[in-house]
This record gives sequence, C-alpha cells and structure tokens, in this order.
Amino acid sequence: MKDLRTFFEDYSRLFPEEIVSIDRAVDAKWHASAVATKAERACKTSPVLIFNQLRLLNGAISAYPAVVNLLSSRRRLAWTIESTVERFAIDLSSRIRQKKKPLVVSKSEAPVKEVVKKGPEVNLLDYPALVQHAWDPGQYITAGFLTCYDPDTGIDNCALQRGWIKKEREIRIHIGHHSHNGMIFSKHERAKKGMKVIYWIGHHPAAYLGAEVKLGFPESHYESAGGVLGEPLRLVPSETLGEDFLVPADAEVVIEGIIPNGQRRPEAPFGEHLGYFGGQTLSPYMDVTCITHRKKPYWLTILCSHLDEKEGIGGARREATLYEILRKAVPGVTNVYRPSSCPIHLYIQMKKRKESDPRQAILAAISAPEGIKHVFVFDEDINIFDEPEVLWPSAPARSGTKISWWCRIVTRRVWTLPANETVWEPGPASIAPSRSRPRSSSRERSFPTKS
Amino acid sequence: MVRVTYVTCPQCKKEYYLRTEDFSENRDANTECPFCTKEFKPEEGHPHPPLSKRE
Repeated sequence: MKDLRTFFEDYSRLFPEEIVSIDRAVDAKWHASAVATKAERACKTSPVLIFNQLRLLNGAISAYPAVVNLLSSRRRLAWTIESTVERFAIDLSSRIRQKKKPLVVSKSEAPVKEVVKKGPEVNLLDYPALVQHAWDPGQYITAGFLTCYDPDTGIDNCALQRGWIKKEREIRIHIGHHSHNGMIFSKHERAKKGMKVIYWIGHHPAAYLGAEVKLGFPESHYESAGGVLGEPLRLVPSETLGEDFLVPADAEVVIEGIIPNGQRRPEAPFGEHLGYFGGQTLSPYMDVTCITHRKKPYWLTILCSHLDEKEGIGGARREATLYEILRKAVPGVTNVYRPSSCPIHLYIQMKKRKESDPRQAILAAISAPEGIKHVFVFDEDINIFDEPEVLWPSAPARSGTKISWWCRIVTRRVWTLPANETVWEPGPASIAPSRSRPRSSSRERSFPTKS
Repeated sequence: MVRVTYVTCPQCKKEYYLRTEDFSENRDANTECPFCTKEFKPEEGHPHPPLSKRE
C-alpha cells in the first residue's frame, strides 16, 4: 500500500538532503512562500519543505504540518515511477494506459477516517493552507483534487482546482467552465440540483500524477491513478455524501461538501501558474459538510506561480498527454519536453519520415488542450533536455539574415509555429504577433512580497 | 485572451481587477475587495475600461 508516508520513508532514506524540516515559526501569509522562493534560488535541487510551526492568520500555531515543493522536481517525480528525467513523459504515458480498478475498503481500514468532524465541528481556518501572493484574498487549497461523479455514467472525475477557504465551512471554487468538472457541474445546474464534491489532499506523488493527467470524458481518474501508482487506489465510502460516493482511503485529508445550485460568489484574484494574477471571477462555492483526516495530516500545497512547480507536476501531466496525442498523429515522435523556462513552449524530438511530419506534429500539439503556444520540433541528434543545445539551432533559424543557411537549418533541425498562426509560415514575421503579447498594463506580476 | 477591468475599492482605495466577462454579464453581482473584504458593485469602484455587455 503506497501513500505519502511510505513515499517520505523511501525517499528520505535515499535522498535525506532533499527533505527539509523547518521548526521555526513561519507565517502562513506570504512568509512560507517567500521562504520557498529563497530555497528555490539557493538550492540546485528543489527540496521538499515541511513547515512544522506554521502561524495561521489568527496568530495561532497550526497543529498540523504544511508541505510545499513535494511535486516540484521533475527528477523526484520521475523517481516515483521508476523512470528518468529523459524518459519521464514516455513512461508516464505508458503507465496511464495500464489502468487499475480501485479497491473499496471498509472505514476501519482507512487511515483518512482517523479523525472525523461534521457540521459545526468543522473549521477549515484551523488547517495550514497558505496565502501565497500579494493579491490573494486568503488561504487557498492548491494541491487538492476536486472530485465529483458524472450523473449520467457514474464515473469519477478528479482535477487539481483551487479553492479559497473563505469561512469555516465555505470554499469558493475555481471550477473552470471548460474542464470536465465544469461539464459535470453544468449537467447538475441544468437539472437544478446541487453537486456533491470532495477535495482530497495529500497522497503518494504517483497517485497525484495519475489523477492529474488529462483523460477523455468520461474516464475514471481513480483508475489512472492506480495505473501510475502500480497498485489499485484504495477507496472508502464518504461520511456525508452517501455510500456510493467513494473517496481515497489513504489520502491525508478529505473535505466533503455540496455546491448549491445556481449560486455564484466572488473568487480570486490569484497568482496563476504563468506568473500573473488571474482576475476576480464569479464562481460556485462549496458548503462543507464534513472533514476527515489522519491524526496528524500533512497539508500539501502547490506554490502556483513558482518555476519549480511548473517543471514538476504541471509539466509532467501535459507532457504525458501530448506524447500520447503526438504519437498517434506522427509515429516518428520519440520524445517531448515542456521546459521549465517557459511553460507554454514544447520541444518535440522526432525521427522525420516525410517532409510534412514536423508540421503535422506542430498542428497536433497546438490544438491539444494543454495551453501550448510555441512548438519546436527537432531531429533526434538534438538533446531536447539541454537548453543551450536547443537554442543553438533555433537562434540562427530566427535571425533571417542568412536565408539559405537558415532554410537549411529549418528543414534539418527546427520548425516553429506560433499558436495563433493558422497558416504555416516560417520566418521572422511569425515569431510573435504583437496582439498575442499580454499588455503590460493589463496584468500584474504575482511574486510574493515578503522575503 | 481574457479581458480584465480594474476597480478601486471605495473603502481601502486599493486597486485590483475583475474578469470583465463574468461581471458584465451579471450586473447585479457584487465584487469583494481582496485586501479589506468590502463588498460593492463594480460601478462604485470606477471600473476602467467600463463594464459593458458583450458586443
């Protein structure tokens, strides 16, 4: 049985320097994310930080530890699925295909039921969620899988979707209109019914990888989590949402609740993964009915605007999805990499079989639902994980001063196409149309303000 | 591209922005200041550019 505890045991035995326990008091508001920012800059690897003395917004020290950066290292995530940095997307994609049916266990066998609080006993403000950025309106759940069931098929759907802990028993949820959870929510809205949902927080990183990956609709994320984990995900009936609503038995925390029909409340601004604040939206909210957790749960947080987190789980799930799509479109594709230097770029490595292969790969990548804006396709002799080696053929190809040489380089080594160009047109004019650049006045950077 | 509209909180005078689409289609909805939690109609916060129905 794998969970976050077994991961910490195994990983700390092999890489003790990569788990840093902090026993000094650190504020949940800005301070913890500022410490993580400094650690990112100071360390070559991105260590897991465990804050044992987190000072909550009300001034009290949290009874539970907060964990950040767990999912931020590509090398660490590759290790969890017995892969390497270079083969990560390939191996993850292969594991996702090996889905495993979940295993239902009794409540007495579920560690997540060690503590059960219902109704007025629940106070989410007691848990060590962080306030990460200057404009964030409060504590956010960022490493929680919002999970619901499709009413037509009864299949589960999980997604990492943020939630603002507004009050003791109210979470405002950024559900994403175009996400699969958003589609299920629309079905409930049309039927004028409230939607039963849970957040589950804290599990083995492999379960996170499997549950976060983009699947078709409707497809079970519990099954793909089992595939990546290498064993069935253990589930247990919920406390307040019915026996047929199953929740992960080995999670650290499960929050149960109902999203009322037709209600919207302000949510955000929030520091997004691209480093800008997303504007305030009108979003649904969750009336929390119950929280269950281990006796001393680890409260996991993803630092959303941090570079390292993008290289980790943010990049991993996109690469696995894109690799799967690209292999179907162009069988010659051998690897993909979404560099941490720019989360909207994609490097594709391929064995070109015909002239149209790179173009087909580019079109498949930018039409995939993964937010990719620039795609670069390379021959097999370029190591796409080595940024200088990638930039070397790209730079002269972009200069436009040596056309014949540039054309040779383009056809031999690199093809590029901005996402909003509809026609393949290599050359300096197609690098970045001005309308695609965010206006500097329209968005604000979202770095933490306290250091 | 998502459009945003800046508003200024009438209580703390700090500025932030809203997603234009959400608030222009729900003119009765209040916004909530992320800094002081004051709730107010976007029109009270001198929105710029002005909120208008989608063309």
